[in-house]
Amino acid sequence: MSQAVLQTDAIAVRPNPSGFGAEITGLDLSKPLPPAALAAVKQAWADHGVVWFPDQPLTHDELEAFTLQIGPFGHDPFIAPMEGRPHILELRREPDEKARNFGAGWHSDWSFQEEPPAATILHSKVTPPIGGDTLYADGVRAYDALSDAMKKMLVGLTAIHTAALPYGSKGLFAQEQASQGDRTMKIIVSEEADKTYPHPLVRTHPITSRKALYVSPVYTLGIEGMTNAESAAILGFLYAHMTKDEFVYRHKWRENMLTMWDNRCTLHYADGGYDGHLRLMHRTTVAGDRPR
Amino acid sequence: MDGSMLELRKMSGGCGAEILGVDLRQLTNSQMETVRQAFSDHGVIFFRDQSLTPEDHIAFARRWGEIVVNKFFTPSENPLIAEVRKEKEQTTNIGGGWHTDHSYDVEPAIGSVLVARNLPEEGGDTLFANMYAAYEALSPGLKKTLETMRAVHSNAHVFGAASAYKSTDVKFRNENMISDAVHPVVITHPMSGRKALYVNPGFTIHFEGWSLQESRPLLDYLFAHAVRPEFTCRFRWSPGSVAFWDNRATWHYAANDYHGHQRLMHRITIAGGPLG
Repeated sequence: MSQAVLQTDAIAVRPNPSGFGAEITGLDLSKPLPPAALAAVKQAWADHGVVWFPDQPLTHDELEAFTLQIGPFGHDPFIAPMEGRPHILELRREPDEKARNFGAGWHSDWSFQEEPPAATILHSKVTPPIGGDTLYADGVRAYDALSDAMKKMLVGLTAIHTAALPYGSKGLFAQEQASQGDRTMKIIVSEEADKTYPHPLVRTHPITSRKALYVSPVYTLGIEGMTNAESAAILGFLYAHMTKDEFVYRHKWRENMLTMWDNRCTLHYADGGYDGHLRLMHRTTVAGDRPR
Repeated sequence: MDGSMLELRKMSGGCGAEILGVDLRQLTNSQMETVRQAFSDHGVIFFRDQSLTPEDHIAFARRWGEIVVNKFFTPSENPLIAEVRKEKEQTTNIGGGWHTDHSYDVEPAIGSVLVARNLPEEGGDTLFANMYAAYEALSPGLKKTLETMRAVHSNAHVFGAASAYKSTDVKFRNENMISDAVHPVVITHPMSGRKALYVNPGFTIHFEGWSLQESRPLLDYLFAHAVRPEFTCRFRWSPGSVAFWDNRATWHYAANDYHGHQRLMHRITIAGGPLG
């Protein structure tokens, strides 16, 4: 990559054939982006749901600076940030670690917050030779593929979100800690995580105005007003539907790749399969608005 | 005998009632009112030790409405009465799955009056499930969601040329007379004014406008919910038994557990109207 790539007209956005996910080259993210380039990045991110920039070695300062160009930092609960870097989470899994890899369930980041993060930015420092892909599911095309009658029914529903299943006082991480798990990342389980927050089941994207399914098996507890069993009948269908191959993009990492996804219209899933290898990533989030 | 002498015994907490102390050949108007109320309240009513000729059977049915002749069933000697027959050597029975008769009609029948004619020593019970109770036990959220939905009912997969029965020893007539109808998922019962769940595993194939795949999980949930034991009863037939069920308020299921024995029932079906 030459220094000339700071020219905005050198940006190349290469979407996947489906339109979901796009690679962006021709920029140096370690330096402030010219306004036109920044606008192009934001547009590609909104249009394609997930964008990635290969070959971008970044310091912590540069990662923070890039994040702030997209928007103010989000609020990241339940995981201890890096020492002296309150807005950076280190996702680290050691070669000999046995704990289930972090993020191994379909979710949209922090969807249990009143104003969940618009973007999550993940920067790869060490990637394993095998495994460790991230899968993304497109909530927009999944919604579009439903029948009009089912869409109409879903648009009227409110989903209840909570962090309780992973982070709650009786959640998966609490159980893991009780059984002396060997996880490297410092998870802070909390009764705070047991709180619930309602969001529309179908969310309208504030930039594109497209509707997207906004539920996930990790953070959605149920549908407002319905029993768990009733909710499961509807949500179970939606989870299977959203994560069909035709709506999923499997992202392969390389070292020094920066990937930014839109939590307002996508789910993601951290695949494992790299026991015996170190995987090291740094993550920031960008604040979002209240789902509508 | 007048209405005050009738004895009503609920079959279970959630479904059906037996009415004792009445002769269906000589129902007084006041008895008829009591019977009508029980039918409205309990979804299915049962009578014991009756001696109904085919003509008596027809006369009782006519007190409720016009008789409709099912297109697919074989009639008895009287064309107004259908036979529900299983011979000794047959292995498949009619109605051996939860269903509501005639939900595939635009104006589904009110119900049927079934009279036992020849019974096996044991087995051949009929199970009923109460759709008022099933509806009432749903959450407020799901009730609200279902109230705006409609469902498509069809008989093609049951009585049509490619139906599951075609590979069995049960034969129906008029396989080309298949039809579909669309009804609300929750109906307000025309007699009781109460809300009832109106989808059934036998004939409901999808929600209106939804694909089969979209419909399946929620329909399957409702089908499993609706037959919770709390909403059901089981009727054991004996000579002289009569059952009269309300298709708008119940499902039924004919137990197929009497192979090697004949079972013959006479069924008269009573015309209904559109459902809202």
